[in-house]
Amino acid sequence: MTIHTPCEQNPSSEAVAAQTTIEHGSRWHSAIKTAFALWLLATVVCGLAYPLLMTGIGQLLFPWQSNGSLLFDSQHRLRGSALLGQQFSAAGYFHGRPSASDYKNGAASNLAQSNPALVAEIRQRYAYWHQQRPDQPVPSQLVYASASGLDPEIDLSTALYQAPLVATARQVPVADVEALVQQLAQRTGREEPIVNVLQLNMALDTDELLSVR
Amino acid sequence: MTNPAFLSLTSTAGVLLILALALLPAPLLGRWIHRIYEHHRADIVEQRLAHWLDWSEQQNWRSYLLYLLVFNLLCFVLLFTLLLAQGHLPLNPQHLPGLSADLAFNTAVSFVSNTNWQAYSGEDSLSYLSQMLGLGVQNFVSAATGMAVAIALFRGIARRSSHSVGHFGRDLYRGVVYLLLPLSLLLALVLIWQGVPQNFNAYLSASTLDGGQQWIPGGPAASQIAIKQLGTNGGGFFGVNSAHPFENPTLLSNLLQCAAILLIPAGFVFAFGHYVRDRRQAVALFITMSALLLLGLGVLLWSEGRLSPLLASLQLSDSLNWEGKESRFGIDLSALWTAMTSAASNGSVNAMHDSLSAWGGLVPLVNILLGEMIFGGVGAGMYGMLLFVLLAVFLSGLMIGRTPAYLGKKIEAREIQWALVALLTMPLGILVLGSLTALLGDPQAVTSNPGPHGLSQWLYAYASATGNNGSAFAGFAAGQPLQNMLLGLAMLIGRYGVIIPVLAIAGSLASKAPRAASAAELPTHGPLFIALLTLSLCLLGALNFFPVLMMGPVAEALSLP
Repeated sequence: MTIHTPCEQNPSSEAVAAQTTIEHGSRWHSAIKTAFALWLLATVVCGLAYPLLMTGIGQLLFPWQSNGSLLFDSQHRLRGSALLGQQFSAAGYFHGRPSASDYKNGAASNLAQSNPALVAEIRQRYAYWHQQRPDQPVPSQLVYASASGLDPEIDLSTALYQAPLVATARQVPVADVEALVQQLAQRTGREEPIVNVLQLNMALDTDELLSVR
Repeated sequence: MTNPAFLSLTSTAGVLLILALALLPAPLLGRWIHRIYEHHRADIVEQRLAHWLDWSEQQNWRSYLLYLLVFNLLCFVLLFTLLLAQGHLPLNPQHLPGLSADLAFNTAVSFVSNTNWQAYSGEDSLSYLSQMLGLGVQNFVSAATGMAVAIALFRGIARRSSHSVGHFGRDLYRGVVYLLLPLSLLLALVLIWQGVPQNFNAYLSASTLDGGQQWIPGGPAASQIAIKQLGTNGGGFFGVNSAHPFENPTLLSNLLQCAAILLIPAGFVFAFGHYVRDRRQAVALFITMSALLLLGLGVLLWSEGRLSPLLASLQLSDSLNWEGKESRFGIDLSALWTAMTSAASNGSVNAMHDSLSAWGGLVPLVNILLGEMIFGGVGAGMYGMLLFVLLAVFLSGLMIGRTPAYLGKKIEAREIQWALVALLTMPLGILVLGSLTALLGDPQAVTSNPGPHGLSQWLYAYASATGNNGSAFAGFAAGQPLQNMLLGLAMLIGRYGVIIPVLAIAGSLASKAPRAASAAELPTHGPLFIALLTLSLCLLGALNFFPVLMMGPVAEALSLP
């Protein structure tokens, strides 16, 4: 014996079947009407109102962040964004992570660990740094490319490793460079403080004592 | 040098904090989800819509499906048109041309099906209008579509002798307005504060310190990134997704975005418990999913902390695999994101899966191949998991020689047939379509890595498309016309090849009268059932793909010295 539980909201199966036959044509019609209405509503609310509202709030409360965290120099020239790393190859600047796009846009190497091309790239970068400072192990962050190709930061230890090289190129005391690095290091809650390479290099250029090159 | 003990302590704290933020709200959120779909009084807008569009009756599963398919088809047509025509439309400061037909097809399918596979790079290909009105809108409604299907299935299991599974229009409306939109508003605000751009400026050219030029992109990014994380969409505003410093600038933005991946999928597990008025059922599924998630995470944490044997001769400062990972996130938080995004069919990335170590790359691949039900997509994860639950119940019924029943509903041939149709979509999309393209096209031309990893890239692309995940071994040259078409087809099979059977099962179960539980039945909340369910998942989900996994990632790992 089956336990039959009547449900007031739902008509019996025969009634449903009859109703479905009658309304078969109009069912398509109302499905299309509903689809248009839902699409229109979603477009107005989620596609227009929501991003515009967030833009308004963002521009009002956090204008600097909303517009890309832009950095200008003393002549009001746009030099970059605090969030986007830049390519540094000149001596006297700190280097950031290797980038698959040379910091032109977002890109990763997408090379597999087993790919000989990746091993060759890493060995080449390693050779460069090992030649600069044969006395120290090379920081991993300077031989492995980042995920974004625009990674703005390196670990504090990776920056301090480069401090003597930067100091020699600029002919300034290592201690002063190290002090600047320490001053700009940010605690993030991750294992190690990180340093924004662009801001560090901009600080080097604007510092009266360190800017001598 | 840093103290390694300190190193592991703070990273572990970060991982635990994100897991807590993602999973602990699940019981509360589950109650909220149940409430908004069942007990909320219709607000004034819904009342007006219901009046105009005649939503007074509840729908049987066929009507529900019809409304869903018509709505998704309309969304596809309009998005496809928008992407083709963007060159002639406003809010396009970079004067980007319309997409090619095959790329527009792939992208439109991708966003309507909640896959959000990116065969394009957002900042180079899409106008702000296409991002907002096209992809942004689909981020909301494709997520709400998946949630609606899950709710229909929950009702099917919970209702007694009923012919209705709810109304698609109402369910879609409520999912967007009472769940996705409020959470997105909050998350977007924090993301802007943390540095995610939200503007309509043209791209700026900066004079770099080294004497070069750098383009600084803009756009309404924060609003879109918030919903792409919450709705398990995963399609980035920028090409490199949440690894881009504009898309995910800080540790806090990473913490919230990463937690947002699992937030709603985990909530849906407990919502199911409310529907069937048995919290233990939800807890059992929650435990199964969490265990599989943590297993994958463990493998990733181990594999990404090891130096590649090919680099053993180098004197490096640490043994971590930093390739394709960002300094601000570090290794552990990249591993966590990878585990979560592949478990949840989100598909956003904060590290590049292609450059994971060989064993590490196996984890997201297996998570996807299991069928995206370790929490899974919003709604989609739960309806996928319930298919496996029905199969596990059926198998256990056969073992003990009783008519199988789940929560009082007899599981009969009709339900199992439909469930098998749904399960066959994965091998169909991945193995059949994947090998078909290998025959039609030139495999060497689309893979960027030699050897077994090239096969893994191929496998990952078709798994990601069919599983509606959207992440990639991104060296795979997805933008080719043939790949655009066939990957688009794989996404359609993976999405609607599951939704149609799920709604059919929902309708079939709803019409059944429950029978009293008998002592001879295996309870579906105990440890024995959890073990049986996990076993069914591994057998039915992964065994199909065992040979190709051996030839791809496993061969790669074993070939290293």
